[in-house]
Amino acid sequence: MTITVKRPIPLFALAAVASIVGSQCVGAFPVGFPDLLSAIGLSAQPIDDTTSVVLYAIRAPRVLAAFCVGAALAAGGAALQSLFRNPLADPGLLGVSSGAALAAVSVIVWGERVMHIVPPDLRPWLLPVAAFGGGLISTTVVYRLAAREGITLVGTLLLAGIAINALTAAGIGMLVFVADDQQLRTLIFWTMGGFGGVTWTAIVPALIVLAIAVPTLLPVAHLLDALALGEREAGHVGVDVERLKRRLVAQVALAVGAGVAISGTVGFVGLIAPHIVRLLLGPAHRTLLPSAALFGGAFLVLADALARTIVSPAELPIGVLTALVGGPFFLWLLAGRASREGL
Amino acid sequence: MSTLRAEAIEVRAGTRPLITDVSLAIEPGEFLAVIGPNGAGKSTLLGALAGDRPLAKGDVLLDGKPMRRWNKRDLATRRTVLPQHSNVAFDFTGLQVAMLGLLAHRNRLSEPQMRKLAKQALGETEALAFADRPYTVLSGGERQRVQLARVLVQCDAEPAGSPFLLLDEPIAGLDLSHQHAALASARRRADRGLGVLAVLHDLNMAARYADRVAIMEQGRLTAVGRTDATLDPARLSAVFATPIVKVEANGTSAFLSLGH
Repeated sequence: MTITVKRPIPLFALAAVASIVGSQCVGAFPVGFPDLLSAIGLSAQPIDDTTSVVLYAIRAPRVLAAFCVGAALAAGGAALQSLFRNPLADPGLLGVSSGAALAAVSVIVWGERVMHIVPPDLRPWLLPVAAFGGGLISTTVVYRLAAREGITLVGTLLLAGIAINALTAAGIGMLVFVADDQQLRTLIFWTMGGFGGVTWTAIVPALIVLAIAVPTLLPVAHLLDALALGEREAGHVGVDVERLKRRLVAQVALAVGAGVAISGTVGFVGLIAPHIVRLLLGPAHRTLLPSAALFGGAFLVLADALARTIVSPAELPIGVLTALVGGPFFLWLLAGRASREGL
Repeated sequence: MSTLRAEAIEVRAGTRPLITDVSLAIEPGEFLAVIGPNGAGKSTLLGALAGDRPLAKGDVLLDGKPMRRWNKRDLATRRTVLPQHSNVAFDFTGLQVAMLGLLAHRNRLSEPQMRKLAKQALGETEALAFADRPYTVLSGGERQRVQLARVLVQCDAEPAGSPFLLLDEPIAGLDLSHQHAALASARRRADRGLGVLAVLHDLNMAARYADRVAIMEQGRLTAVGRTDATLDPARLSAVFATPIVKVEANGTSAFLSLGH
């Protein structure tokens, strides 16, 4: 049942800030809260160089990246679910993430051959752009297959996702075969997902893409509500449905592609975050989109903090952690639907 | 004066024609009922008039302009459509669903105004009790009343009234008293000068509320005219391929079908 919270978004924002601050402090090199305060200039007490490097160069980009990717996946998931009118749509399950990952991995393996013709300033953009392209192709394919005349065929939707995931897995397998040792490491990291090697220079282009693609979903929030009526009915109340769909597919591909460019494929965030927020606050997208984004961001920040602390100094791949939570969650969702709708 | 008319339209599914050579105009201020057997093309005709369906031949003109040249938003202020059995994804409440009828008016109306208008419409369809309940848990008839409220609020939000109201089987699934309430709501709008077209299966309801009746058979419009003249028992018996008699008593009349 939906509970009534006067100001849900500031509440979620507070939780997000708390998760960011908390995870800045934990890790292989613990940082005290007073040090954190002085690092951001709120305390005059000086901090030593190691702490400063850990906070600024290692942890800050990592935590920020985890937050942005989580927010992007959650908002992208909410948008996909609205597009398909189905709460089971998730960028990972539908193959959007793996399409983006295949493109990203191709850049890693073959990128050097084209890198010399790309101006140096644009090189960091190659990966996010490729990931966007891959995400766009897979989203379009799934959409074309599963949505016929405004009705989403749920079975086809999930099967199309399986097919795309299988195809991209084959593609990545081929690339693994031709990759050299160094590339192989990067490849495996990419397919499992993680924020391990995150540096400022590597993530800035993708963060810029996210900063554009995610907040701009908000102005169409009420149109996403109307889409719940059905595509034809949304048209009747004044939505240019074809234009909205093209926009959503592009924005989801941008958000997920940029996310994949930063951290590889991280599953289930796009499923869990919107669903939990919908349970708490109802389905209206004006609150759902920002709340799910904040929730998804906080969720990945905490998952990442856990990934780098529980087997410290080693690190668990974050995709393993999110799948550990998300897999059972998805099964639970599926079981509920199966008993209700015979799906 | 607003006009909505189909001119010699043909709609196809693939290569198979669903409706052929249909010309029909809805006059402002009238209630026009479309009747006919299943599969005769009634909903297809309504979809074409709503601008939903691509036309193989002919044109649907709203205020003289072909449907395909209207943008969706302007269209939403000029004609309102109630489709057959609608599902709503996710747990939107009755009030949220009704408020979606005001989407094209969001720039003009404040949130409390929209809420008030939607509640008024829910009150008119006796669906106010469902305002805070998720649409997905409502029964078929209750959903239909929420959808009807969504359509009425959209149609009333336009200061002059959205000129055309298209209802596809608006009373399907409703109990008798709500059937009358729904058609009376439509009738009131016709009396205010709106053009109302409703696909109906109940001949007595058509006879009671409509000014004119159009009969569709096998994709063609075979009769259109004043209600009492068009609803002729002999013609109806042929159209529906079952004996239909008109019984008159105490100054009122009713159509009866007793089966074969």
